[in-house]
Amino acid sequence: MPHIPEEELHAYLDQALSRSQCVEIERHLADCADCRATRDGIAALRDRTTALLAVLAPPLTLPPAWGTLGGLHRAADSRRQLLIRRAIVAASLIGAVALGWSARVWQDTRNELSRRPATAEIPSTGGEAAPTSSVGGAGTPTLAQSPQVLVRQAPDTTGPSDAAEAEETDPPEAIAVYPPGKRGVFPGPYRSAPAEMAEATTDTITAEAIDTAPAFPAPTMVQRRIDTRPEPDGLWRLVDVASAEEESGVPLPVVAGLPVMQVKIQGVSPNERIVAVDQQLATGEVIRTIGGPAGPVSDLLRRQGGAVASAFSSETMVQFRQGDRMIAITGRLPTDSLRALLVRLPIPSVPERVVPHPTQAVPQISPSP
Amino acid sequence: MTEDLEELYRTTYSAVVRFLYRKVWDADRAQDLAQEVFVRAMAHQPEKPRAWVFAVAANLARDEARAAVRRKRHLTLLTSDPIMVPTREPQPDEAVEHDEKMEKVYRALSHLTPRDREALLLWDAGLSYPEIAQQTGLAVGAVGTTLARARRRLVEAHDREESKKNAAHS
Repeated sequence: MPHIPEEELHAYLDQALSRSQCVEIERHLADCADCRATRDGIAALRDRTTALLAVLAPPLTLPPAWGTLGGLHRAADSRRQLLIRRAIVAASLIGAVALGWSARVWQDTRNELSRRPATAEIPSTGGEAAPTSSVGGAGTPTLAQSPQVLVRQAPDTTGPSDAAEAEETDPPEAIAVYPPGKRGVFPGPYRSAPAEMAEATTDTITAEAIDTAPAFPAPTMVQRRIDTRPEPDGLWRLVDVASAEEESGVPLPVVAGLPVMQVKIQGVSPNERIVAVDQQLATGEVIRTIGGPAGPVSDLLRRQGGAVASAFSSETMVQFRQGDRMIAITGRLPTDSLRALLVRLPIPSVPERVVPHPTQAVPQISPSP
Repeated sequence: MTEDLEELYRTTYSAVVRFLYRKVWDADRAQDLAQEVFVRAMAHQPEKPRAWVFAVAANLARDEARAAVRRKRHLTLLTSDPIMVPTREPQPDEAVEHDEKMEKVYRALSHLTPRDREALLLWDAGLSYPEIAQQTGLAVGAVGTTLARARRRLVEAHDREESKKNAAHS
């Protein structure tokens, strides 16, 4: 007769078996002394286990009243609900901010797209792109190599195709400055509307006026629709001021007293660099100063001005050329403001005063002693 | 359902406290955790409250032990399942003897595998074989075998501790 397995006797004594299993075991125990001895041994083992575990018992205490637990439960529930409410409020705020930001971005994009006209090209003159304020040629400053005021060539009906001839026969004329906001009357192609340019002047800088001008080469000012971000053309690198100065070898065109937002540099040849410096005014407006070799800077500005009609119709630009270097300062500011800022640029060799050369109609600005 | 919970509370509160005490070795903390268990039961309203209560108690004790590890307080890691060690405090003679007994039983308990120990403590708390099986992950038919092994090892380990002590004193 097979004996009852020990684990089955454990379960029997733990009352974990069914009634039928218990009956079968008891029938066997009645006839098997060995299994009865095993059962007694397991019962004693159970009792010892219980006694040992009882040693590991905490001091007896009365359980708190059931009602007390109910209060704890209600408090926990209200804390949970408060956290849920706060989470919902926080999520709503975040959602509202995100929605507002998205709407604003969308609106700004829409506004920018609606301001841009369809056409972007400004026809070049004589095979060259729209000129900067320069003398003698559509795009090339060609006066004497000494520091000079750049004046824009007066447009004529023959067009500036014969630039050299025009330079020799006609003295440079004053440049007309267009008032801000006057759309459509900006001096893109110099061939067009000479009469307008002569009349619609709010700030004309003439050669005579230079004598009484402040002690810096009075720049020519051109109002044009340009993009103040000349980044697209060429490879620009973001650098810090020190690195830009070291690399370009000249002081950066940084307006004193304004925070510098970013400095970018572009290599145009192994030894030449164009530097673009963005600075922010107290009003929040951003101005950009571009400096570098005259030729590349001129080309860059020409490409920028001709390629894209900027969304900022009130952009103005001031250019200044000194020898083989050119500096341009742009911003959505009145021309007088740009002029005032120009004074604060560290233009090398800027004389402390303008000294008119007795033999030239256009005064030569000689370096300060 | 609430009446069932109240009845369960009255009949098993002490067992839950005892069960938790053997895990956290702090009477006050065991009572706090026991109350927490029943408060959660009020919120959860489990279908099988008795087994649910002990399962939650085991989880709370495990979390408590892990928190104690982080606080670096009275913890000896015997296996992957941390077990708290009873703190020793200066006591009168009778209490010292009791503490020694506790320590012997504790040491004997530490000779069990975590599963065997858990099954034994749950049985001592009054859970049935199916409830023990549900909480430990054992098959119902294997609970008897596990308990048989756990009881045998506990008693043998305790007897060894007693023998060592008697041999040391003799």
